[in-house]
Amino acid sequence: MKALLPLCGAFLIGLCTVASAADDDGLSEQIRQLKSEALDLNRDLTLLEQELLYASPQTSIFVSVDVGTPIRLVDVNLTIDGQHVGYHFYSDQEFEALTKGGIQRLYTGNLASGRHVMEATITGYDPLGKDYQKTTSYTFTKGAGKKMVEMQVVDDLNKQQHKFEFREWNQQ
Amino acid sequence: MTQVRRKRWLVAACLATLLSPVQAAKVEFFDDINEGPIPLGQEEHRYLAFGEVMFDYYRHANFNAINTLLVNQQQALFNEDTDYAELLLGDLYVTYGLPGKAEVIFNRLLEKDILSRTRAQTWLHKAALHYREGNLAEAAMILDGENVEGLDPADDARRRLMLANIFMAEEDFAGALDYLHSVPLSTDEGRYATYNMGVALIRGGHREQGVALLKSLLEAGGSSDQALALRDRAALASGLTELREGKLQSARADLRQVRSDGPFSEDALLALGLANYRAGEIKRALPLWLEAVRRNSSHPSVQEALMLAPRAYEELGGLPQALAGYQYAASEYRQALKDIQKAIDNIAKPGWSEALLPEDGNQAGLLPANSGDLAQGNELSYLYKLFSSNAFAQRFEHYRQIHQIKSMVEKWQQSLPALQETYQIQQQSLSRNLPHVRGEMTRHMSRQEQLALASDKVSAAIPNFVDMSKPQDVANAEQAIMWKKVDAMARQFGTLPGSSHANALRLRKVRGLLLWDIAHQSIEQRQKQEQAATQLREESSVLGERIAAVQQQIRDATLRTRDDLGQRLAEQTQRIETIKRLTEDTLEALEKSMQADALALLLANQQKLADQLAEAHLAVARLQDSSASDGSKQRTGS
Repeated sequence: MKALLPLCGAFLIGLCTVASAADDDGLSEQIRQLKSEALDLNRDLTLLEQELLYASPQTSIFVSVDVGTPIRLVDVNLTIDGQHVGYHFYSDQEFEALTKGGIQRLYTGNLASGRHVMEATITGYDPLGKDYQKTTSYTFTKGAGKKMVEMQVVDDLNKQQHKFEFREWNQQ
Repeated sequence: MTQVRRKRWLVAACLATLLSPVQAAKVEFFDDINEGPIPLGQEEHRYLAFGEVMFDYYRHANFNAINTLLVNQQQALFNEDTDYAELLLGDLYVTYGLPGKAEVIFNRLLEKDILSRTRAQTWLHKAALHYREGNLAEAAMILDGENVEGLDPADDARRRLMLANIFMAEEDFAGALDYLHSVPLSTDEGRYATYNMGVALIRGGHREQGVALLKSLLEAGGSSDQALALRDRAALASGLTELREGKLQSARADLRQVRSDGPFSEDALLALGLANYRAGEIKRALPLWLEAVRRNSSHPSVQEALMLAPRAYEELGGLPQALAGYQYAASEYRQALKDIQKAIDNIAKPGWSEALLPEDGNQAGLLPANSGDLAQGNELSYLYKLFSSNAFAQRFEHYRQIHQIKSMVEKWQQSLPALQETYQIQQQSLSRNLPHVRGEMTRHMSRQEQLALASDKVSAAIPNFVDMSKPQDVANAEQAIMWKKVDAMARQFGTLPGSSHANALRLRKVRGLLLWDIAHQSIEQRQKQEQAATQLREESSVLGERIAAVQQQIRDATLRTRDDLGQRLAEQTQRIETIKRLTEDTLEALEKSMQADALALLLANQQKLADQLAEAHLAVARLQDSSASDGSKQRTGS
């Protein structure tokens, strides 16, 4: 039975996880080198892809929400000129990221110049957990430069639901 | 208006540098809405780009966050002057395991004339980097110095925790306690630090103080799984310490606080039984060990209990039960040995490490994707022990990240041919269509200019009052036709047949009525005309924008036909291949190292189980021998 007592000591593990000294062997250096090169490669390829696919007058639609909103955004569906161009279902982590000030790029593409109508439908839960759906439309004109539209989903405190506010930027 | 907006952006930018990277994004940069399109200046562009980075950062997609920052850096949107982006990139580099790059950024920031709070945050990040790297003395020097003055409360709590941990590691418990007291127990960090401190004190020989700290956790709040598990762990550690000191009553009180369905319940059952046993209450120890025996036999405490339960029966005189218990223990040990062997065989199989990866690539958790399959073979419980080793967990984190890189490289390897083909198609299409489009554009530009002039002319021609000297200008279509007829008849009245006086009066009456009708609707009609003219001007303006857009596209297309994008894309093939090879080599090396760790753990477990099996067999033989000898004594009447 006495043999069991050392076992008690073995339970006392989990002392502060002061990070152990980094393994400065070859493998660690190889890992660091690889991570660094991978980041550079990914950056360069992203830039090349953007250069190829999205010419200078690209259009981007962003989604953001009120910081700290008590209303839960579940999903968003986006159409431009009646064509479905984007859908996103928000995981808890993603919605939390939005409520902390993150901005999500929902759509990037090459739209023809001229007038366009975008329509966004969102599903959400109000603070009491009741689900609802709301649709809004917004008209914008695409010119020569980049077009950025931010769709901010903000609290409508009277109705305890979301409402939409739009901001639009043109690259001159 | 533009100046006001610029000022607002400047304030926003200053705020962003004032606050931590995390808080910077919380700043609401706008207080006005629906002003229509505004020019996309650099600060507006930064606002959107940094918002995207924060989205990735908060959803723990650190690789994407770094990539977005680097892409924007390359496009000169973020540079050395955007301190908030620099600080976040440094922080992300630390998390991603690139301390060298992080230190370069922090040093660069500290050399600059930045706001005092940003400076303090940068020092804190630098200290965290040293701490992570194990350079505790350097970390402590920064954390205890004047450089970190002015941090916000959350960052200051982080600073105190790091200092407390450093003092603990140096066994300066008084120093650690000084810093720990100010960290609230209501936070996860505060609870973990208190637990660590309690255990460190016990290990350092200050048992009473350590146990008191652990007991303080039992009263602490927190209802998350993490908080409850830590409370169990504190109760267990406190109970075991008191058990070792012979304070059985107090030990039992603590151990009873461990939840019976929590992750430490098996350990608590074993220890509580042990406390009862040492108090001479074997009958109270037995049910606890019997309960433990019913649990998963791969757990070390259950394996201990398998021998303790029959031992208790033996001491209580229940020899048949004891014999059955030892036999059951032997069969369980054999089964556990088989499971271990199976786990050893699995580890040797190719792809073992890959099976440990979480399903979500961004998830840093350690629950393997196929945990269900692993649990069936009891392999999972051994793996959890493996993951509790800091060295293995770090290696696995590297493995996960390199695997993520491998997926990324493979994705690019698949995409690159498509991108090259797209480029070829673009080139062919542009070469074919550009001359025609250029020619057509000249014509369309001229037409659009004429249209714009005409629409301006029409707008200018509409007077801002109703002029009834030209009734046709304010008449609707029907009235205008009628007016034309009546007016023509009036002009030619004398030459027309039936130009009598009576008809002249009739015509005059009709003309008067028509004029009245036109005048009556003239204001409404003028408004319609003005609306139509405005619409025409707007359409003309949109057409102008479209002309400008097509011209921009022609310029882009002309540049595209002359650029070297095709060559630059082709150059990536070799680069991708090299990184892919390096990735595979690194993954192989990491897998071997992880396999070695896992095998060492399993072999140690195997050895322990083999010893326990031998002990169980000996106990069975001992009981059978004593039973046989009792029987023979009875037969011989001795």
